[in-house]
Amino acid sequence: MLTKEVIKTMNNEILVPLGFVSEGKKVRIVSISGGTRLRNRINEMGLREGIDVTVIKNSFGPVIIAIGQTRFALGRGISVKILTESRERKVEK
Amino acid sequence: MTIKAKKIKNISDGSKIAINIALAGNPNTGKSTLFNALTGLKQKIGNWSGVTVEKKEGKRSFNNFELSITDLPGTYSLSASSLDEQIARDYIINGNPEVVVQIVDASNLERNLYLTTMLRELGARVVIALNMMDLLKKNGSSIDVQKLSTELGIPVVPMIANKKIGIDDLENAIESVYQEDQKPMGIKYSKEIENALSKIQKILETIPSIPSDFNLRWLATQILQNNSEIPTLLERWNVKSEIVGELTSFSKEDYEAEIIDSKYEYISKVTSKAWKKAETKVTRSDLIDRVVTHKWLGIPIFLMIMWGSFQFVFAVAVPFMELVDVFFGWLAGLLVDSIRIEWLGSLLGDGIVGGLGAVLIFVPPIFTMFFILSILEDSGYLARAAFVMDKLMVKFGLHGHSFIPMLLGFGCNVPAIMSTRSLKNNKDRMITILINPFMSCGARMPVFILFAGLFFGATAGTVIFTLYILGIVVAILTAFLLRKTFFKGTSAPFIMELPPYHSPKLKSATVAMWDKGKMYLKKAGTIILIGVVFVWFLAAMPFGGVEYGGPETWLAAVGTFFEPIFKPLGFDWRIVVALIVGFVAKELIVGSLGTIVGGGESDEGIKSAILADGGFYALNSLSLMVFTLLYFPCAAVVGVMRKETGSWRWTIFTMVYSTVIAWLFAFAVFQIGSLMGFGL
Amino acid sequence: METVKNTSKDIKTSLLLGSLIFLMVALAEIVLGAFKIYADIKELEEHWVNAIPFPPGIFPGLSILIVGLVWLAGYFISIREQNAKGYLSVGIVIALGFILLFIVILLTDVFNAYALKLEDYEDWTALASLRWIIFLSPIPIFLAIKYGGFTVLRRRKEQLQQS
Repeated sequence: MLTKEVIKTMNNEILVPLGFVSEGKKVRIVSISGGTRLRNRINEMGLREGIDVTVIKNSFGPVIIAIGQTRFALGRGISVKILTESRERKVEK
Repeated sequence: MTIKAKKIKNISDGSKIAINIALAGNPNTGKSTLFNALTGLKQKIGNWSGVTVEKKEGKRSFNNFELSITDLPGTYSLSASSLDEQIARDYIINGNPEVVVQIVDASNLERNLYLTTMLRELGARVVIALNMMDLLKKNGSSIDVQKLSTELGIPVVPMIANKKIGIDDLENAIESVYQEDQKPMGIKYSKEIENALSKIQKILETIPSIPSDFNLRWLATQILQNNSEIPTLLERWNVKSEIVGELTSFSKEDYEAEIIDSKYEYISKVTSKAWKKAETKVTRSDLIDRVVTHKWLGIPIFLMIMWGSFQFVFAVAVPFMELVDVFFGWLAGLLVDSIRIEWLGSLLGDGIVGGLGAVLIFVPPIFTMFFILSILEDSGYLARAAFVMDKLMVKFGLHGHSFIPMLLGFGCNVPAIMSTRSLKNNKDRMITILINPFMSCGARMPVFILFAGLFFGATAGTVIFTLYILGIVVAILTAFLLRKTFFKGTSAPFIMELPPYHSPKLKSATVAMWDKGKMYLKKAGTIILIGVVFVWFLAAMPFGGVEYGGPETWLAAVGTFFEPIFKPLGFDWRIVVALIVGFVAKELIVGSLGTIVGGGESDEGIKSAILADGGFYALNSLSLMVFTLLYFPCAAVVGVMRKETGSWRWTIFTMVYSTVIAWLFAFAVFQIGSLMGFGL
Repeated sequence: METVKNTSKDIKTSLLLGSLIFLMVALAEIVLGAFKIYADIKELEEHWVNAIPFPPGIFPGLSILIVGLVWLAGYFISIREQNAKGYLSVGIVIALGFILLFIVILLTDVFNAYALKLEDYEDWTALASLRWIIFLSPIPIFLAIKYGGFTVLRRRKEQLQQS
């Protein structure tokens, strides 16, 4: 079905789909693929390129992420369309 | 449509100035709390015309102003991609609120401000109620309210709505905005976009049929972003097709994304000057979430909480139901006995009071259910529950949000169908509504308990359990079918905001319970009342000398008329009559059997009467139970379904479909059982 | 708002003990509950299960089981050096929730039997409505007080102080 896609950016950073980011890690959204409508709706809700998110939970079912103080639950389908790059600091659990 | 400021004349005659206020904001910002704090008991709840979304209006006075406050649905944006957004946006355009109060969650400033940009784009005059300042402080962030206000050009009022802090300041801000114009926000779009916009506006200015005060710049941005409602709007204004073509030629697919980006850039600039954001930390709430949405524990936790809720509802409701039952039984008897005119006494007693009793006896469990539900929702737990069930639901063509309505259906389908409003996607919602009656409601239980107990002795419990499973299976298969045929397409992508946990407030739970329950009383009550009188009529006619509910009545005639259809299921006319009466309310099935078979209404009476009667035996009881499980729901549910789906077509479809399915299954049970030698 | 990495030793022991106790009682109630259903179906009034003063039930037993499982999961999380406070809180809240629920049910049963004098309650005694989990209540109550400061409970404390 879905294989873990590893894409290298020009800076040689590894981009990981949000759906495969481990719990507790902080990442930055690099790109959101998918239809324009979906992408715009997501953007309006605040999930945009250049934004940092922290993955709170990622096992079995939808992914929970934190943007600032808000928590969002994203279905698997969407979370694999969001490509991210890691931000150094690991958030303490 | 640009709303102009008004200068207040010196009013010395004590009369009040009426101001229309709209309350807007993202979901989970405390909007309802603020609305309640502002309007107190002076609220009116109805529906936005033509749709089933709730519309709340209220009033508030201060100084010499009388505010008419309309609560708009909570939305993230006004791009009209969902029903809620359309309603909010249309109200701002057509309803002409003089001031829009936007509730902003202080801890999520950026995202909330996006809605602000859309409001200002529409020309609304905005006051920002910066809510949940206490949580902001707890998180370690801070906002320089003055700077924020200056940057935005909008008054910003810090508030803690659930403690009623900041209301006075809000009133003052509303007053000042009412009197002054607001500067447009300094959002800079790219040169390309700005050029296109001014060109479009020039064209628009030449069209005479557009209302003179309509916000042309906003219209231009919508045209540029290829808003799907534009063609209809232009058509309504009789704009010539060449001009329409010229206008739409400007739009490009990427413009919308660019515009969203520009807005957020502006927002970033503003917030960087005024907002000190704290680092994201894993909070207590997150730790709880890990447990509650746990791989293995999540679903069992949810199921136990649901079981607990049901236990609560029925335990608390039973004493009240008894009281209602006794009261109405007494009243009915009194009327029948004491009114000299026999038919009138019967109409009032057996018919109206008896029928009303059938509706009102539902009130305790339904109200309690709404109460518990709103406590669960306020606490924030329900969002996690939907999350937990989503993966499972999607496999069957349902949505994560479908689960709660389905679960509620086991109690009563009326509130269950009403709770489908949380489903944003219309197709998801329709499917969930249409399969809901297969979740066997509590009112069908008496039939199961009676017949399973009488004819299946030791295995009664298993039989009933199997029946419920059958209902679930049929529901799921139907959902699957509907998804493949009439409601093609994938479920809405699952994005949901998880609100922080709150300890639920008893007061707001009670208010919510009354709001939703009131609707049950109003809508269901009318249909049931009519249905009950109708049934009474059939059961009492022909006039004079006929035993109420006996074999000479029209009701019996109806039963006998349909009997041939039901013979292959093992039913005689009496069972048919009882099932038909079940349309009014499923509890009436057992009651009417009691009347017809004899033995009155008491449990013992019915049991012995049925055992003694040759027309009832194990196999046809089984097919009766299967039929009861699946066939069309009661009038109250029909009424609610019609209201929530907005279409008679689908409602009638469900009724026919479920009855056909019921017939097929009951037929199969009876015939196969007969062949296997279980018959008479 | 803690971002403590590990779970304290105290909590670890509480989780372990609490879960073991709850799990054992749960198992007992569920098994006996199954026997009770058997006896009821077969209408064996003389069955030894009916001699137990507080009738066991499968679903009430499940409510004890879920608390035990949550705490057990929490224990395993804690020995992997992660924060298990969430598990402790959730277990406490669920336990107290059910205890409260069954007390409410007990009260309504009393009301139905004595005030309303309903038919179904003719052979009923108050003991029959006492669920097993009620007897375990000292444990979650003790844990709640000891590790006080959990979101829900602290809010409740604040609410009480303000009123």
